[in-house]
Amino acid sequence: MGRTAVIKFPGTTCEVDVYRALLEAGVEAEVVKYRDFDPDKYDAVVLPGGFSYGDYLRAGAIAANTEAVRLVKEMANEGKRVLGICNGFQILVEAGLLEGALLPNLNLRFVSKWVYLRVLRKDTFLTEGIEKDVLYMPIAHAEGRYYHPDEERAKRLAVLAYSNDRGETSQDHNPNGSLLNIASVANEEGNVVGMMPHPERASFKLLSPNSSTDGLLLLRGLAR
Amino acid sequence: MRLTLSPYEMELVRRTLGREPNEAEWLTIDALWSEHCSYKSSKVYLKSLHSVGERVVMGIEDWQDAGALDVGDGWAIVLKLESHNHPSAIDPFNGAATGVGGIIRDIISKGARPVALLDMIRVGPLEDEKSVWLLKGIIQGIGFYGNSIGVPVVGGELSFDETYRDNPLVDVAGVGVVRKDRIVPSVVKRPGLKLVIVGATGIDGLGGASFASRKLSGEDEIGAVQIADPFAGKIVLDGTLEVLDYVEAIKDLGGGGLVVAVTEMANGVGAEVHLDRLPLRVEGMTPEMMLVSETQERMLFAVRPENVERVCEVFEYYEYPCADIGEITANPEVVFKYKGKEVVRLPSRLLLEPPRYTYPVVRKRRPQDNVTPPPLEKAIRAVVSHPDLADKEWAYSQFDYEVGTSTVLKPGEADSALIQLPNGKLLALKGDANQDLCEEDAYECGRAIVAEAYRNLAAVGAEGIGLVDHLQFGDPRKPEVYASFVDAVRGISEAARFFGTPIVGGKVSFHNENKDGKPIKPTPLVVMAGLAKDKFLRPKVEEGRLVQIGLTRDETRGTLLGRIFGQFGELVRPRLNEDYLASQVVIDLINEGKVVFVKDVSKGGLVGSLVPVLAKGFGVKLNLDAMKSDSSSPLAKLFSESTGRFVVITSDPEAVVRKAYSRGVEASVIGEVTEASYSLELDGLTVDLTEEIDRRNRLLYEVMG
Amino acid sequence: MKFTVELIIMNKEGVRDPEGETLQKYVAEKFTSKFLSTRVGKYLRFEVEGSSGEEVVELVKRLANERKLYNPLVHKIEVRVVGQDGGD
Repeated sequence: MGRTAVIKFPGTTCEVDVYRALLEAGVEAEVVKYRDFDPDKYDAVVLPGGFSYGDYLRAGAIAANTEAVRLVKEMANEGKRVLGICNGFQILVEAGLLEGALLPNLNLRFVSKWVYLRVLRKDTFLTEGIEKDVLYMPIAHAEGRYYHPDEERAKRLAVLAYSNDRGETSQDHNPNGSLLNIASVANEEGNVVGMMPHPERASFKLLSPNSSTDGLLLLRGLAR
Repeated sequence: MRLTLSPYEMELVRRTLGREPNEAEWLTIDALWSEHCSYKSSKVYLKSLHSVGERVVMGIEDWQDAGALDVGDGWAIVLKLESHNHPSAIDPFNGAATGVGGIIRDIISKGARPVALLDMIRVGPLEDEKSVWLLKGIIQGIGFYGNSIGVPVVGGELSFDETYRDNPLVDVAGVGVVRKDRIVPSVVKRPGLKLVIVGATGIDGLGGASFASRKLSGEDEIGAVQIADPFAGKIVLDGTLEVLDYVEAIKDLGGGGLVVAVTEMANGVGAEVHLDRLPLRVEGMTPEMMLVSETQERMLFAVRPENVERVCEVFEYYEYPCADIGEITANPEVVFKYKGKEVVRLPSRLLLEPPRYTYPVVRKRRPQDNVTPPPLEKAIRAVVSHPDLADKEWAYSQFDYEVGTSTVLKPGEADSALIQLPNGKLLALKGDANQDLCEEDAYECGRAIVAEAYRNLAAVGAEGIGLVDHLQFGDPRKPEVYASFVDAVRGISEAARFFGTPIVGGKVSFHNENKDGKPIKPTPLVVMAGLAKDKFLRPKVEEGRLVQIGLTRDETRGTLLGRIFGQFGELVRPRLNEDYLASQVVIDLINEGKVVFVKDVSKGGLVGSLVPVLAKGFGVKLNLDAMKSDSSSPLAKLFSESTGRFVVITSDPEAVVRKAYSRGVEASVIGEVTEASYSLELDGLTVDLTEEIDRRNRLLYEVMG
Repeated sequence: MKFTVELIIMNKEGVRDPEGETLQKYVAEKFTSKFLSTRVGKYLRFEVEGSSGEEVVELVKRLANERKLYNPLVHKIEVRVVGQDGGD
């Protein structure tokens, strides 16, 4: 018990990166292929980034229809922890585990860059107890523009928002046109979280432009 | 389908066989004897490349897909460099994307896990609508494929030159990591192994190898267009890495398709293939089509009979086609059968030993000089504004350069990319070409690009350990073109030997011409790999003293300044020892923590190397009188591209000069980095570059949209 | 008059369509074997001013050709009028 599954779909690219970062964060984890996933063996699950099924049709749409995601849904309903990163976030949204939609970036380009994120909610398993209010980590996606028809609702669900280094969330720091600069949302209960930024890429000092490892602060939420 | 064989070659085939080959056999011979697969016009000279060294695990042996270098602790890196110029000219998105796919498959063919890509792109001027369209598609295509399969593009080059207007150059390099004792061969020697193919064959890309081996005709080239399917590519990548323990050899299906893969894998022995067992994508394909189709995302494995099922299970998990299509035989003949009937039976030797050619060479005569050197300020503004020196974020931000969590220095951050290897060591990578100098003198240019790559690695604290080259020229039958090819090979080889950076792999791409048959400027390109000695440098621009390491020589011919205003003056002639020594000085300084910023002096001369400083919002104050130079001309001091030089920012200039002197290298304190944003101050002349730098920072975003 | 004109861009017959193939293999034919093939294209809809259907179709074709809305080596296009508004 206490283990975290990192699910690999056909086309997933970040499973090993996430696995390594989880180890760094002190989280007991293993990579599981989508057809071999047994939810009873795990307390938590991470859907890592990548291009499941080539992201054909819509990012995450085909993976959202798999048996593995149906099982993830059951876990979520049981109150187990579910984290979707990038493509994983897209899958969670497509599968209806999280509200809203992730649309093509406003400039229609794939965008890869390091961004600052303001922490808006600390009542999710990922952000609970976190001391920092502004985090630094990279994004890399083509379909990350968060949309929700109900802005008030979106405000309630948002966990992270694109900002400057002081946590100010102006449009200048919105890399993809997301509603309210939203980079991450959770469900009401806070046990299902999706985020476009990649915490696993901000978990090693050597690889960070300013030596910070803010990704670990979030990933430790899977061990708490 | 059109054959590219010459009447002489056809006669040679008939004589050797003692009979007239059938249509399928002609196609087979045509594919294997194509320039693309056989290197028939270049091989004699390629044999002269310096290719040995302590670290060489796998060199340019015949029929290996990529080279490998020892990086310590039982690990090796696999390096591969290839272009997709002609496919990108007609369908930039798919052309560039399939280029990435091909590189990746070459790397996994060695059993290596791909960890990095570099892309070196050359197109026509930004004012040309078609060049903009090409560049957009090329960058998107590379991103589409690289991102989807999870291999980061960590660095590259972007250059704009009239010479590439009709014939863009799209070079992609790939790097993989593998345990040294687990490198998988591409060639088998043992009869009885089964031939297993994964991926379904379709009719796309028919005759691509022959297509790459002639100039663009402008006709309907549909047969040669290949559509990229990175999702399938990712399945092939993951699956191949999963079956490594159960296969004896791996070959990527690339140019020339199945016949080439089977024949090259069975080099020395023979093979028998049953085409009717081939998984097909479309109905109604003839056996001839199956032989030479270049459908992407296919691999060929040689497998012991007892392991076939195991191998196919891995691919079937992903619902990907996998089939046993034949076997390796002792008889040195390549046989293809279809529904029991023999369609091809040819001796392997005939297929693998096409005639080799060397062509006449004629030295190109330089036209009479009548160029007036430009006024200083005009030259400064022009070079700073040149698109080659523009900010490249528009391009690299479309690449997932962080995937794999090993990218230490990000694209655009330094002279070289730097990634962390599985053994913890840091690997630096850089690709360099220089069409300006190559057009003037391909021999000096061959030496110069190797030297530049060596310096670029030193600028982050790494020492070169080996390289791959790609030789891109026009039609080799034109004596001036062939002369530049020969010179470039000689120059690259000489410098590689000098620096101890053996050439472990390479490709040749001829027939790069514009619509009127004018060859491109010769554009050999090298990608060098190196290891950080101990510490590395993450360069940071801040106020401090500027020191030039090395001696400026009055060499402005074959430079960026010359490309803009017309070439004049003396030719750039690398003094390799100066490059070597100055690089050692820089590596020492990085390890001693004496410098915060290092940039080699190359494209655009000193001014070019100061652009990244200015772009960060600082000013530069230069005292040109203090610069050690063999000329008093400010133009030479600012724009000469003479080699063996770096500029560094330091707070301890005396220590930097002392270190250089201790190694026998010139050094001079040439100025300082100031707070005065965007201003370049010389003795008696202050140039406000706010407008130029601002434009340079936004240029690609604005032009490309 | 104002016309509503559709422009559909598809890969030519014989040119692969990985997106369609993937949807066919992993979604459509798993749903029921009655789905025999899937192709994916791009759909654009214009409102165009003109005096006749032929004229606006011609105009959209010219736009597609001259502004490279598709790559004729790889794609085929279909242009059709789906509606018109009287105008004055």
